[in-house]
Amino acid sequence: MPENNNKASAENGHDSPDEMSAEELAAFNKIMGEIEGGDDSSDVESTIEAGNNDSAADLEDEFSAELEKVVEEADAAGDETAAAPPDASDEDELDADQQKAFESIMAQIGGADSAASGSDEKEADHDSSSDSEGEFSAELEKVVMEADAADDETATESSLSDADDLDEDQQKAFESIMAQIGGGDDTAGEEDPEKEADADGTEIGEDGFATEPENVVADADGDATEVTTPGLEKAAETVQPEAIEADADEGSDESVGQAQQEAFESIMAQIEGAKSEPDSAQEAQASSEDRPSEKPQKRQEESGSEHAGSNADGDVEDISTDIDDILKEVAVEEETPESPDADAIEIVTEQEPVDRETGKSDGKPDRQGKSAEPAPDAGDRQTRVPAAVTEKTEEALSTESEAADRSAGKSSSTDKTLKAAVPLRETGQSAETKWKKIAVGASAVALLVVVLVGYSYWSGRFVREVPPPRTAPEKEDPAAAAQTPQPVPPQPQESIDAGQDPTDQSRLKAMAASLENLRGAMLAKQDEIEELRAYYKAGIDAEIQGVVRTLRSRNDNKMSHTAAKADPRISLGMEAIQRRDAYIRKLAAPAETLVWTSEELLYFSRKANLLERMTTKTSDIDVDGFIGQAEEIIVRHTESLAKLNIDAVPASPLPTETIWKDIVKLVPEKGKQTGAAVSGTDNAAISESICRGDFALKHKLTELTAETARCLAKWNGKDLFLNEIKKLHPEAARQLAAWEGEWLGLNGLVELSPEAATHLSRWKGKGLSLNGLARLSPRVVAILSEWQGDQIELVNVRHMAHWENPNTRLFLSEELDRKRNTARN
Amino acid sequence: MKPSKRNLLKVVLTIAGLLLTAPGTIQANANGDQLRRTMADISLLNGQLAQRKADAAHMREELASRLKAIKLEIREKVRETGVENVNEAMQIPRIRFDLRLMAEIQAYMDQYARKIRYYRVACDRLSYLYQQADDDLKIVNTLSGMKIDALVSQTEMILSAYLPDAQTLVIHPADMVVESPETVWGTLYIGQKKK
Repeated sequence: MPENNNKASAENGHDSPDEMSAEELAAFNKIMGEIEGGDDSSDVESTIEAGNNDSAADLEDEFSAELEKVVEEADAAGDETAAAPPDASDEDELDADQQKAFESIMAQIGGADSAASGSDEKEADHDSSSDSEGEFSAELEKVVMEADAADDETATESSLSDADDLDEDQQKAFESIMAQIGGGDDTAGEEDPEKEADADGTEIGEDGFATEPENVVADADGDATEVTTPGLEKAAETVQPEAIEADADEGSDESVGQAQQEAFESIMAQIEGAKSEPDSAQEAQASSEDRPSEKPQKRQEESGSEHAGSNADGDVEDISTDIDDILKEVAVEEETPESPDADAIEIVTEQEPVDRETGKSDGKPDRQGKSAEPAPDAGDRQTRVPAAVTEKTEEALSTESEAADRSAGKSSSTDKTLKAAVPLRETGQSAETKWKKIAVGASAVALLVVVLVGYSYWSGRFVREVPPPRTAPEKEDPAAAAQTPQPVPPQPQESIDAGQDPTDQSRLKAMAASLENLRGAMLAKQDEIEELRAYYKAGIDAEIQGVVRTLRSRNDNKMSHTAAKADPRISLGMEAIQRRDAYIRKLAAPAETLVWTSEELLYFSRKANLLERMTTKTSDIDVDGFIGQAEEIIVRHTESLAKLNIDAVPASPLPTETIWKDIVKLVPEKGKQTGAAVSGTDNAAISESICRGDFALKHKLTELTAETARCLAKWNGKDLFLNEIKKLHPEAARQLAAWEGEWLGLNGLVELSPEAATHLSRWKGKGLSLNGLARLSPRVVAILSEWQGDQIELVNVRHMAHWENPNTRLFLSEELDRKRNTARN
Repeated sequence: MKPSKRNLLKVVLTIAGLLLTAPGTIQANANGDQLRRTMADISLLNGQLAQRKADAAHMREELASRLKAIKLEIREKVRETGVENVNEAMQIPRIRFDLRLMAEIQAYMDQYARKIRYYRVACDRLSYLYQQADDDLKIVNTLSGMKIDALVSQTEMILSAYLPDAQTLVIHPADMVVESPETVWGTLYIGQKKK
């Protein structure tokens, strides 16, 4: 473009800027007169300077004049809107700057300047050579920026701060646009150093320009673009046409006068009328005029908006709209059916070919360095620009490249940021997709598992029956054992519990226990029967003794049976003896049955113990058969035990005549001595001697009378043994109980009446020996239990009732003692 | 360094010898292993049978001691009751059931005695087989071509025959002969008379 501009300026035949200055000054004064109605000192100075020019006014001169006019309008507007004092106080300086800019523009228009001039001269050359709208816009922008730099420092600073923040994003957006364009922009790169030398005032427009491509990219990417920074958004809002229009609609720009509007329109009319020759400039203008003609008015209206130098912003907006159009075209060409992100990625990837065309091998930064050197094949490269990209597009892009190249110092980091930003977007997208895929896969797996579990559960395969644990090892199959030799080294082994079910032992043990229990019950019942029989036997003896005493008292030992039956007392006594004797004989049968059953139970119990012992190491013992038999025995004997009775026992009562004969035998005949007398023992003589105090023959007493017992009670010895005495009269027992000795021996007694037992139980001694007694009635046992001595000997007693006195030690026979222990257990 | 023909010949001959003797060596090793397995089986079974024999002897001793106790009880009862003949003895329940129990214990003791004899013979036979296998193994380890098939088959047959009785003592009730109480009384009375 600069080359074209130079070429255009050369064609216009501008010889010197002085000639143009005169015309331009005239036009300028005219315009200023229209606008402001007066001239400043600065205008006078510029007029004086311009008067040195000789060249005639042509269309471009008019353009310059109009340009100056616009600048002045902008300054005026800036002065009106700017409230900062420095703006008002520095009017002279502003005018000087404007004059300087004006001079440079004039120099460019004159075509006398060349590359040998300074940077300002280059810019002037650039502006003067432009016939197109782009040149106008660039120059206008530059001038406005210079003016704004002095007018509104605060606004500029804020904008600059925003611009600084947006540099990277701008660069990013710019590169993406460049990638979309695909044609490269060498000319823009070539102007970078020039633009870099510009004042800061241009950055305001660049901000808006730089943010415009970002907006375009954002539009192209759609809403998916999330990398936009707040600063970038803010900048974009300041430049977006819609926002500007909104500001204009609000009527915020009241300071813009109608005269300015008319002047601007006239300038535009002149410009349009002048542009007829350069085709390239027309194309660019055509693309720029795609916008409605309202734009100039809008720009003027925007001049009073919150951004100073709104005219420049309006130009930038125009450029932005152009870029927007270009990008729309590019987006249409490069649009893919994929997501906007894919487009963004594609844009980035297409950047490399552009960079390769610019000579970069790595496609990475340092575009400024490359573009600073004039490329020899710039024209060739320019022809490679896609046909869809117009010259205006190139111009706009060159302006973009200026903005981008201004931040050339940050280009490296910008490219890095760009490179980093794009993968980030890709990474986020891919990570999200990845997580989505993982979630979907996990859900599918969970669903599948649930379905399988449900199917297994309902089909009954989920719950499998667990075989019950074996409580005992099964008997090993001999055949299997024969086929599987034991690999274990030879070791003495214990037999496998006789190959029997271990419960056999427990069963046998339990059976033995049951048998023993039943046998114990049998033995207990047997004892009860024996006691009962003894009781009856004692009752019989008592009845006999009573009858004998009766006969003795009557001294009638020859009473006949009939006379005895006639005597009621003797008759009842005989009937009692008869009845009890019958009971005794009847009880013999169940007692015998109990003996047999208990012995049988003992046999089975012993056998059970034997089998239990054998089954520990022996198999094939018929345990089941034995247990069956034992159970049967238990059942049968249990039933028999419950049904024990004497009703069914046939027992004929003993005839009373026989009973009477036995009683009569017991009654001593009259004058006939007793056995003791017969045997030669003189109990009377011994008794007399005892009563005299001679106790030497006391152990020879065979009968103990009450008188003799009373005399014996006076003996002071500790032991008194009267073992020859067979019977103890109750009265004698009462007298004997008065003895104060410790050990009394009556081991000759074979019978002990309850009455005698009662008196003996009152004796205060320690030991009592009654080893002659073979049986004791329960009554006698109960009476003896009341004795308070230390021990009592009853070693010959065969059956013993319950002894209730635990304080008295009872000495019994071994057999009876074992029975008692068994019954107790 | 080039190997000489002589060394080459040695190598070839060594390889050939190995190839020729390999089957015999393998066969000898197989026979040895077979004999060792057989000896291990014999030893294992012999130990088990010896243990069963010891079990039988132990049970027989226990039964004998129990039998002796019962005999003493019968004699005491006879002395107590004054029984002099079998009929009177049969009227005494304790004597009667003790005689019955003695008969059964004696039957079991006879069975255990038979088992002891059976296991003794079995152990002797197994010891003999073990000795034979040991002898054959020594030959197999020394010479080749020893045939052990007969010994192995014989051993397997014997092992199979004894194996069922190796785990536990087996006494079949059907094989028991239990004498009557009167017969036992007769033996007891004769013994008393002899004493």
